[in-house]
Amino acid sequence: MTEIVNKVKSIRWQYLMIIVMVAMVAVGTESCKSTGKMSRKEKKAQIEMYKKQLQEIVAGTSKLSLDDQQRLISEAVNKNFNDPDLNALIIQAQQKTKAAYAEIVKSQQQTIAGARTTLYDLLANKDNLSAEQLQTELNKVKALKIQDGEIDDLITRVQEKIDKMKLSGSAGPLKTQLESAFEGIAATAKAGNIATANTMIQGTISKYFTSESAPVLIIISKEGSVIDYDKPTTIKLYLEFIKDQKASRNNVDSYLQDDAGKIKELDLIKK
Amino acid sequence: MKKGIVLIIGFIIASGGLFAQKNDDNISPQRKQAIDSLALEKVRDLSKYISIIGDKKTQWSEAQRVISRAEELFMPGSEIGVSSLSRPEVTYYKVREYFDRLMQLNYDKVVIDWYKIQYVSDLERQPDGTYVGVITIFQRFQGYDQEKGLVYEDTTKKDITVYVKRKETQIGGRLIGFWDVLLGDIRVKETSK
Repeated sequence: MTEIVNKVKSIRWQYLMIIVMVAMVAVGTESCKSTGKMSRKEKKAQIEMYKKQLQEIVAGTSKLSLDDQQRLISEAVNKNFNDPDLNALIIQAQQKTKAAYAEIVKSQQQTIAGARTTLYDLLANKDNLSAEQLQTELNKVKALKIQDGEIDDLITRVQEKIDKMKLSGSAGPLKTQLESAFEGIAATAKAGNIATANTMIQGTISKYFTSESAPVLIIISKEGSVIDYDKPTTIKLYLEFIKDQKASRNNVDSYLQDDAGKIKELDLIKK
Repeated sequence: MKKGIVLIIGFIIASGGLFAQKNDDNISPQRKQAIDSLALEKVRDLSKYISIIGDKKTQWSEAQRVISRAEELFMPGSEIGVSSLSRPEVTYYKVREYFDRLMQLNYDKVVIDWYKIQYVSDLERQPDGTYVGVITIFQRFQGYDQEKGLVYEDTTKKDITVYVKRKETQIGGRLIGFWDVLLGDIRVKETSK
């Protein structure tokens, strides 16, 4: 017993107290850190900061990208400051960014629709452009860098058409060649050379068309999206018709070609 | 109560029908003009075919092909009237028979010319959606003999009934709306020297 009392008496109590106090301070600091609580002053400053940035978003003067604006709004929501003014600004900013996103989508859709129309026009080559002119127009569409499967497919098709035109040489655009062939058959028939006209008909079919039964459509009226056609015919019957009537009354409006560059469908329009 | 429901349903069906008819009938003046021109053009096409068929220089095979093309312009069962200065009555033949007879006329040279091709009765929409009109033409016929020269000629005024109907067909996956023009009977109105 006496030994135990002597041991207790030998402990340096002043050191022990210091160690305990240091430990308590350390524990106290650590517990403060884990709660993450801000002082009122800090909270007020953050609310003001968010308000300022949100006001800029609402006013449309924010220099942040739309994605960053959306991120900032999410941050403000997650902080849950419970400030009525800030909450009202959050709602306004959300509406603003939502409208901005909708505008972007609309604009993208318009760009895609415009590119689609241009590419279909280039495919049909209604303006009778040369391969070089078509390439220039196609490059303009390519420069838009549209990410859309249908547009990619159309770009490929137009490029193939241009490449074929470049390979086919200098006989002029197909539209002109066809119209010349039609005029030639009409003039030959008018001169009374029916046998020659028949030879020209066969030559035109074998040179330009997939077969003598390739469909031919004649547009008699175009009004907006409504197109009226004459009764569909075939290229053989149409060329014979030119011979019989001794006149070529229609121009080439558009055509579809197969992989070999032969016309598989022809659209004509009244002169 | 049941009577009321039946009346309401009847009204809805009737108004729907009227609406559909109104939509179908809604053809702008420009489109109507295009259809009018198309029908006139078919008559002009026929006039060219008739002169080819009647022309003694036309080869038999070529004439047969043109007869087929000309025949396709007509409604099945249509008739064409034939008149002569030497007899008062008008004889009507089925289209194919008319063309066959025209090809075999007993002259060395035949010249047939149609002119003053115009509407005598505008295309009017019928309840079934078909547009029906009448086009009048004047035909100058001249028959020549190799030795005697011109041996017969007359001028005949003829009325042609035209039927135009909008139809649809699929071409290469596309739905095409086209106007099918068919000619009906060709009636002789008067014949003079």
